[in-house]
Amino acid sequence: MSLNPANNIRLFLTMTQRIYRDVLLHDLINQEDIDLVGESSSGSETLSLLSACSPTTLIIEENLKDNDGLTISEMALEQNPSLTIILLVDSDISHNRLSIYHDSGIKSVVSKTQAIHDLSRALNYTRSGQVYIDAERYRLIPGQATVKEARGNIEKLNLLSDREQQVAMLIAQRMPVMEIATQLGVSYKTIHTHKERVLTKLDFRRLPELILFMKRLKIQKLQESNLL
Amino acid sequence: MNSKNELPLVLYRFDQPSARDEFIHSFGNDFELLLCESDIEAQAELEKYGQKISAVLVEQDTNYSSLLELSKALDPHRMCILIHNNIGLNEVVSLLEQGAIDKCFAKPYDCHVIRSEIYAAHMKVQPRFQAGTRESRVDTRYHALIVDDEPLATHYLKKQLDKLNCPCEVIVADDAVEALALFRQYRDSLALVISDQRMPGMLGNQLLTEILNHNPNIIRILTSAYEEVDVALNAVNEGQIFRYIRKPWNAEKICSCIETALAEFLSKKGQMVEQQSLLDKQFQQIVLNREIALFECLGNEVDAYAGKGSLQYFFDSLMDVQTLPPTLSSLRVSEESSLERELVSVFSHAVLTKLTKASKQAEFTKANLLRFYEILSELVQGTVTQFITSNEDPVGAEILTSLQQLLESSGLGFGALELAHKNGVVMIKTKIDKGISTFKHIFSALTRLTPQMIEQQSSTLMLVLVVRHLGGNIVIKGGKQEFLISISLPSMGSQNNPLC
Repeated sequence: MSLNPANNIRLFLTMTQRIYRDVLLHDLINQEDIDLVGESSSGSETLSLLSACSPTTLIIEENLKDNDGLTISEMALEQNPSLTIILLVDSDISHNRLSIYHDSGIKSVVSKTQAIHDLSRALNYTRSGQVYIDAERYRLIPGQATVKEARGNIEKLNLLSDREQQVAMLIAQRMPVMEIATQLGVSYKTIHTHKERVLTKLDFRRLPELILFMKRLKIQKLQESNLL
Repeated sequence: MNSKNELPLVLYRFDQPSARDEFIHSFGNDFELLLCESDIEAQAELEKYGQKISAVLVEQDTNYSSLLELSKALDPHRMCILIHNNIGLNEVVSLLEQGAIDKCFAKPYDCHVIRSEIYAAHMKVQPRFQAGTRESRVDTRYHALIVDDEPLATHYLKKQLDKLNCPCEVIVADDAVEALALFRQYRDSLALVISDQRMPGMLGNQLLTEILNHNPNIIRILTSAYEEVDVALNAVNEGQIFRYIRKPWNAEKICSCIETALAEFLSKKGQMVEQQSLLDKQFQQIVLNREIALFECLGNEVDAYAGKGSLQYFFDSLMDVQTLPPTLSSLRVSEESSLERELVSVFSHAVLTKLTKASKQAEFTKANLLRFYEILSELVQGTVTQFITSNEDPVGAEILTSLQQLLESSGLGFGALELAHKNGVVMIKTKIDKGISTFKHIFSALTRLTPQMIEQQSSTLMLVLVVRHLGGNIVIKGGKQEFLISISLPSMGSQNNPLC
């Protein structure tokens, strides 16, 4: 537990290769609010030094000589739960792995191949113990983003023909298809076709969705639309 | 658990088309967006997509809609974010009281932070369990800690709260240093912290964030005499505060707030204990399955070489070594990856390879027992640092190899051993302060399979097997993340034993 009124990041860096540590530190310690309090090349040594150095943030490599970085991170968090840990991974990782890291208490995962400003950003965003997930990390397995804009209900209803609107209203009143057919003087099959078209046009999969939609429409604009 | 390959579905409620366009520009590639211009539309979408919606964002200039409250009512775990232009402290206090917001960002917002928050919500990232506090039971009353640098005010408030039969025992601290000391002292019974914002040294919101990071269950309440919206919002976003109370204090209001906070604390604690007990149960089953699978792969060969019960002895000894308790992540790895299968096959392969090699080696004779003892003595004393083995060496060489691998796995050398012989019995043991470090073993909650762990524990098993094969005795004493070894190699009788 640390008292750090200046809110500077007290950084401890654990990486196997000295040269990588030097490169990283060269860029990082130029930042005014980062104080380097310790560094190490192994997991066991890191654990033994942490309490003496009392860092606020630990940047640790995933693959260490003696242990894996995740195990050392878990041990370090057991010692000091408020320690912010950023894990440096060798290559891209799956979503599952990313979830596992975050569930283990890692605050951010940064790839060693990423530019230094990504690490700086992770350091900055995690300084008060918040989780920071980089968009690039998340989108490693890209999904297809879509934007669905909820149009006004009336506007949506205009997609339907007059007869379809009429059928939709009656369905919303929970009237069975056979009864609708009798009331409108058409066949059962015709009403069934109308019902299918209504669902397709409004992008609904199930009847309750349509009923809910019509209910809301009733609240919103039923009297004005004067459809019944 | 939701599919991790899907982009989060986000419902965005806006007033101005320009805000919507900016939002699409910022997040169109990151999330599946549901854009709604009215609460009715948004409500319909909430009901349509239900728990598939990971987060609800509301961006309104004035008259904050009841959508966030509705969203929380439908699914309390769904992330609710308010984006505002110029929010007042009254609104923040009121939204907190309704429990309607998780985060609140001012415009222009930082896209990186919002993205990260929504991804984390979608991945259901949860605060890590604190092993030290999760099993603690409190038979006495819970404590409420009030932190303020005006001792007169806090002590007066404490008196008033005591008079009002406050459900918690009230303790007070004059600053963050004292508060953190009390937090440590009352670790098991502290239910909530009420902290003033402006104090010398650490500020109130920093103190609450620090407490959140140590124990997310403790309810955090910020109080201030100043109209500091930014501070309140930081406390909401970073310290995830439960309430914001304005000064001057009203003892009755604070007492009622403590009652609500205590109920929230007990509910969170109950959920956590339940979740941890479920985790423990599931983990026990995983360990049992591992044990059975390893027995199936190794049981026959191991028992044939070292006698019945050898494998069981090793498993039991290893399970006595305390490592970190199971977590959601370790359970997820066991359930969703091939780790369990790989663990059994990789460990069995490593042991069987070593066992085949050891089976081919010659038994101890009078001459090579003496040689073994000499080499080991030199290694322990440090007069030599290396030894050379070959397939023709007796099984003593296998003991040396296994010991060396074991010591190296813990960053130790042969100097960590004590060596003695008495009546022809060779005694080898690890010094009391030189235990073999074992952060994870094959029956631990694992998040990853490492060659170092497989090497260390296959060497330990080989040591057990060879010693038992020779008719000797080996004791593995498990401790906290380490174990000690004590070996006694058999006496060969006084007539042919060179050490007698």
